[in-house]
Amino acid sequence: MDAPTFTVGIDLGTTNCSMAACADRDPAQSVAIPQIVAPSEIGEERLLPSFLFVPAEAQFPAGALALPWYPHARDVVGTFARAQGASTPTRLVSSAKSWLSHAAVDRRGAILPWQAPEDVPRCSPVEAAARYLGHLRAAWERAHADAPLAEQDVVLTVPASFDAVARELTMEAAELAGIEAPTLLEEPQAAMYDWLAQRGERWRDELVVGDVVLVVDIGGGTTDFSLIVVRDDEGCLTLERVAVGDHILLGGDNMDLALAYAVRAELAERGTELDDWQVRALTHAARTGKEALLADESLAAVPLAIPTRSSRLVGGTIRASLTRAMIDAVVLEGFLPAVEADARPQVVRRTGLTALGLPYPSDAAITRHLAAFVGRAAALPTAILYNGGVTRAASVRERVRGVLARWLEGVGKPAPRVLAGSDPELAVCRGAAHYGRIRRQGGVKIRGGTAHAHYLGIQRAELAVPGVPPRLDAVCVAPLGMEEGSEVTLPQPFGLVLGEEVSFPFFASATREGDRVGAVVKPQELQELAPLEATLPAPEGTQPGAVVQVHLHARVTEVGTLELSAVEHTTGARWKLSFDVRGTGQS
Amino acid sequence: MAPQPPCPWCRATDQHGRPNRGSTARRPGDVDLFPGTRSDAFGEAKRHGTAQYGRGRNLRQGGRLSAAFSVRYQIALTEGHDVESLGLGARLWLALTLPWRIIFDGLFAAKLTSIDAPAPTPLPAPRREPKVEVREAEIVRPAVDPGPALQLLAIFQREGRFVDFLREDVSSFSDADIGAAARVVHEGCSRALGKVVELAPVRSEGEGAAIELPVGFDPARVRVTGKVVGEPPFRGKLAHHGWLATAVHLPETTAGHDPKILAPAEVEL
Repeated sequence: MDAPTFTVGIDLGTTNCSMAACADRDPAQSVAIPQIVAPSEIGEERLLPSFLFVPAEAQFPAGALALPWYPHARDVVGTFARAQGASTPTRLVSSAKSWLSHAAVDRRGAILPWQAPEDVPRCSPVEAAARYLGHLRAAWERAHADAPLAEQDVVLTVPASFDAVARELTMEAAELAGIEAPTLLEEPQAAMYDWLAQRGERWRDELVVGDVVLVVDIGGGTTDFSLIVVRDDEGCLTLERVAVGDHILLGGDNMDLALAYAVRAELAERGTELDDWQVRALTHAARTGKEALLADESLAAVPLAIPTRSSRLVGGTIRASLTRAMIDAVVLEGFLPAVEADARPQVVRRTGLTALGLPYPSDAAITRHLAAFVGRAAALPTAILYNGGVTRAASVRERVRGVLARWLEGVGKPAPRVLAGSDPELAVCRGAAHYGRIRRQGGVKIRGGTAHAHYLGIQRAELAVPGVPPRLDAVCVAPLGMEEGSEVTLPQPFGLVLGEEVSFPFFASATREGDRVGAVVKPQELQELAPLEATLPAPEGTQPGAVVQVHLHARVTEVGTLELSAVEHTTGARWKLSFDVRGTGQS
Repeated sequence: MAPQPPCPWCRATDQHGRPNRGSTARRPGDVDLFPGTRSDAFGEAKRHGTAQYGRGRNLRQGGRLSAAFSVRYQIALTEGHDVESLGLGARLWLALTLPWRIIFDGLFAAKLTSIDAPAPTPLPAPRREPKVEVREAEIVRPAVDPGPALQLLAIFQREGRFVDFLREDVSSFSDADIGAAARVVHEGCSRALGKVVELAPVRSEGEGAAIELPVGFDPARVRVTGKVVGEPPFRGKLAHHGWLATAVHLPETTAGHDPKILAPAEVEL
């Protein structure tokens, strides 16, 4: 294999995917993605909406969804999938990425579209993600026939909040899509890399030792926070990612929907009822109106026009208005209220039976989630880097900055600066491409290692009491902040039964910085992930059922995934432990 | 199916951008992710560890085809047809097919006779003899393909309900009603227009600015009105800056695309 010509960054987003590439020293450029925009029409767009639509056999003419690389397509991704899926939701796969990190379901099982009727073909979250990545790969190879993607240096971004299992499944999706061994990079870091690439050497003028950059990433469907600290390493400025937030399923789409409902309620008061189709048209109009109002403070209201579905456009269009008061009440007070530093997301007590869907947060206030994140982080932010489509709006940026400034003022710190100049829609894929180049050619790298510490559940050796399940201890097997390529070994040995399947509860935490390898903690303080499992074949000369002593090794691979293996004490034989992602069946 | 020769006028393959209408027969290597039959190539490929979407041979074929049939419509509209050297394959094809076309297609033969004539240059204009222009007006008229025009109309309808708007009798509606509908049309169509056509003004000066048109100005690009007396240079005021399409990016169309269907009927089940 020749040395790769390009480094390619892929942003596998919850609502949109994008791709950028750079060769040599050129800046990363976004790559146009051909996709079905209407039946039998292929248009090029910068974003590939992360939607998969599975039409009924008779829904479109034969070949209407065909792509040059997928001539017998029976499903469609991208712009047309999103448009068609809006009016036929039972056949639409959306938010596949959020399902990928949802431990309560079988992520390799054909479960999407979620709760689809019997006759709708389904796929697994992994397959859906693979489908988007496969489309991106084909799009790339169509434009670069002489540079197959598998031979390029590919960097794939994941939310910082993705745990080891979700990262592993992302890799699996990439491999299914024919992208071999991409490097994983956290999205907020990618946004930071894009900013660094834009600034060039001048970034050292804008950030000084001790600066703490808060990356606020509010996308279409998810919100993510990260903290990156500027340190002095023997006279050189270095960057280190020190904290990541939870995966919050909240974003711009929620705001548009909330605004649409506010407008609909007002129309209902005037006696105008909207059908489902009109509500979707209204949501779309509300997004445009929201962007206009958030961009221009002097506008008092934006008129909205809601067409009917029939061909009677002039006679049937309903007039409504999106006012500044609505934006203030719904977007700014609803999603970004000016809360105190000690505010925390409100948790609604679950009823006994909970629908097994995506774990949407019960508190829509992004600033309360931010308060919780800043409150538990060790360092206070001094600068903000925005990312995600919502943060294009000046009022949103100003609200987040204002709220943070008040918290900082409360502890006698100056207001945070804003790191400007990156495109919130394409920063992640471009930053990923830039990172790929840094890995090859050198440059400022953000250190920080793994974002989570991982723990294994081990039954306590104590007398069994009938009716009481044996108590679990959680032992730290991989501390937070492990660098790529590093390996740790758990000091205490285990006895493993050969020839039988073994399974361990597995946990993670994004906050427990102090835990070293072997530290024993309470599982209640951790987040439970998919269990680890392995069937260790009995080597020749050993009896099945024999117990061997093993040591547990945890390694962070060069591409950023966590690998756990059991190594036998005496022979050095190694067995890889894998994640069981069949789901716990509870949310 | 052998590749069609590139159009000698604009290098588009196949008369002005109809893409490859490839056979719809199933080819080995095609991978369906959702076969109602999950017999599925995907499952099988997965078992063999080769699950790849449209990968390998098929894609590479696709890549070649797409290069050959690339229908970008990115015709440099402003600069006429600047022709680049053709590849050997295309030249061979031309050499084989051209004699037959010359014999059987009088119009085409006539076009060929003009191929060596220098492309009309905007400057200096007086040299352009009226005779030449008359000849061009007669011959530069390929068979009209309504496809792209209808496709653009379909896009405006899809994105901004353009046809609905124009076909409705608006005489009985209030300005406010028409205005509301115009918002729908304007929002959608301006977005679509921005994607499909790259526009630039013909004249970069501000409207109302004083303009001097030199000898040999291009009367196709600038139309003079009012007191037009004598010979250029002319002095006047820019009343409208004009519009120029600098590039067109119509979506490619694939087999089964019927441009006559501007909008399908919709039935809610």
